[in-house]
Amino acid sequence: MAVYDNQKVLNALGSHSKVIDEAYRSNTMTIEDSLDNATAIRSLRAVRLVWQMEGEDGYHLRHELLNLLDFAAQDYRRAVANETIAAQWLALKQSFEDLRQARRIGAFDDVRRVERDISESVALLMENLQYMILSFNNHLYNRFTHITDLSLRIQENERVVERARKLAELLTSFSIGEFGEEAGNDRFLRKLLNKQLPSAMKTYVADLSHSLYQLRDLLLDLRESHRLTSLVSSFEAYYQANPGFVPSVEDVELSRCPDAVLLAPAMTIWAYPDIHDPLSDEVLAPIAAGARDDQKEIVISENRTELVPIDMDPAGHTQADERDPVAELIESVVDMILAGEFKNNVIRGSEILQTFDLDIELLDWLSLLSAAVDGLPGQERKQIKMHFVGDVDTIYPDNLWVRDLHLQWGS
Amino acid sequence: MSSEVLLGRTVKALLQGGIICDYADRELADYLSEEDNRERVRAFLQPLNRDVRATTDGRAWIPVYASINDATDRSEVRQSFKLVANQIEPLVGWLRLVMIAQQRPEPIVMGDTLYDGDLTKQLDQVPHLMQQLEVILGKGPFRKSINKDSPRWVRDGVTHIFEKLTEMGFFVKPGGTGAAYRATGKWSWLYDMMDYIQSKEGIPVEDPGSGDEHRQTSIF
Repeated sequence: MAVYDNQKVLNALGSHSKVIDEAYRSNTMTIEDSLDNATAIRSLRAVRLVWQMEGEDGYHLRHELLNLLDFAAQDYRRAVANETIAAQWLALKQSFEDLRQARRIGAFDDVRRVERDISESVALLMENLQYMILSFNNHLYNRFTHITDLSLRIQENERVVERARKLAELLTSFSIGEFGEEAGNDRFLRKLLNKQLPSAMKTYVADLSHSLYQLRDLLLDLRESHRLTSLVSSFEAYYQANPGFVPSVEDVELSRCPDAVLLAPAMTIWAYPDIHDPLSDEVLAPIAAGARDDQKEIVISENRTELVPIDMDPAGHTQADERDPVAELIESVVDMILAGEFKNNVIRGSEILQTFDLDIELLDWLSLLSAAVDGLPGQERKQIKMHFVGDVDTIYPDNLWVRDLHLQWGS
Repeated sequence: MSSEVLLGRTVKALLQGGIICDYADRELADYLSEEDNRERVRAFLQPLNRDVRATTDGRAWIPVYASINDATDRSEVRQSFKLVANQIEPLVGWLRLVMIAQQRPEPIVMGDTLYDGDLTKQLDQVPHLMQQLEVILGKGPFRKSINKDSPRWVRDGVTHIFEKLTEMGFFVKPGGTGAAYRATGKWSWLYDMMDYIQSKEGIPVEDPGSGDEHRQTSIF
């Protein structure tokens, strides 16, 4: 039957946190098998958080526990990484010194032990460097957005840039070449010191330089954002304190103002195509041919309900001229009189209106008819006699109350 | 596209008063980023008393007068300045409104993409932000009569402002239509103008952190 062990694991971690932390911070990741640690080891073994290699004294922290500790200590690790790496480098140098001494006195067991230590130290150093560079890249990826305030974001960016700068300095101070000579006959160590470590260091230095450059770039961006925010805030505060404020134009010294003020407005650019240029024919001909189609396209609207159908005449655009029937009739009457068709007759305006039943008042009709006759060119005007028929006003004898208009051909 | 065509397009865009940046027209911005090309453009513009300069952040190209010896040119510059001077208050109000509503620590800069739908949601139902929107809709280029009884007045107001800013060249629409608006280099030009006005008018420099909470509730 499955057993739910979480509570036991958490209890063991809580009860022996000090021992675990000491093992973690010593970078050995091992709990010494001593009487003082006996209870802790028993308890941690029961929940499988430590393990022991055959022939070794200490108990190693399990990988899963290390991951948890790495996660919990990531800020601390970042902060002290430079010191850690510097210390690891010094320890490595010391190990090489031990190796030289062991070889000199012929202590072969110790030579093998130190060689194993060196391999582990180099691997740990590379792991830590990789971790550091990854953490810089993470900052570049998230751009410090987990910090809301821009000033605090800038401060953190400055701190990270400083850490990266120090690490870059530290890496350039490492002299990898001298270690290669100490590799001796151990093939693995030779390969590690002559190939893997130099190659990895070269990559780390390049990656770190790139990260440092981008972190500085990001810092510039953040400072610019801060400047703009300050600019906008300044105006906002000023408008609040000075309602109705408008920057003055009159005292602008144009010869000393920045480019932004000298922004030039739009200059109209317009030209007609040269229809006499044969070279333009190729371009203009399809445009001209498509002009009619273009007109059809214009009718297409996004709003289907507003579509207005237009019938295009294949012969070209024509527009029906709806003539005024009154004007048409007046023109016909005048033409007929001028043509002499009513030579011996008097044409009465009222009778014409009655005959054609047009929608116009008699007086308006007579007025338009007389105006048309009066508007004829001199010679033609003389060919038509025009006489108003009506009643003289009793009070103003010069006024005539018109009832009809008589027209008669008479050259 | 041939170099000659790009030269023509660039000159035309600048003469039409356009501010060129990666987002307004990537091809022309790339073309102008080459020193030789820029010299060709300048040689073309010089007889017309025009020149091309970069904004302070180096991210946009603006058409400027080559010299301002001519009285008409000076008058036009003053007119443009006057126009901008009157637009800054509503523009600042809008920038702050967007910063507060979207919890942005920095104002809009070239390349930012904003969505009118998002902003509407962020303003809607937040009385003091809606009040600020109403104030902005009563000012300068954003002036618009609003019917607050309409359930859509916030959305209409936000869209109206985005459209106005697009007309003014501050935004382009990436897809031609729709609700996304991409900020152009005109913002860089505006901040240059504000920089100048700040120093000219002696507007005190404000720490963006100080009094921020207070202003968030009483922007105007």
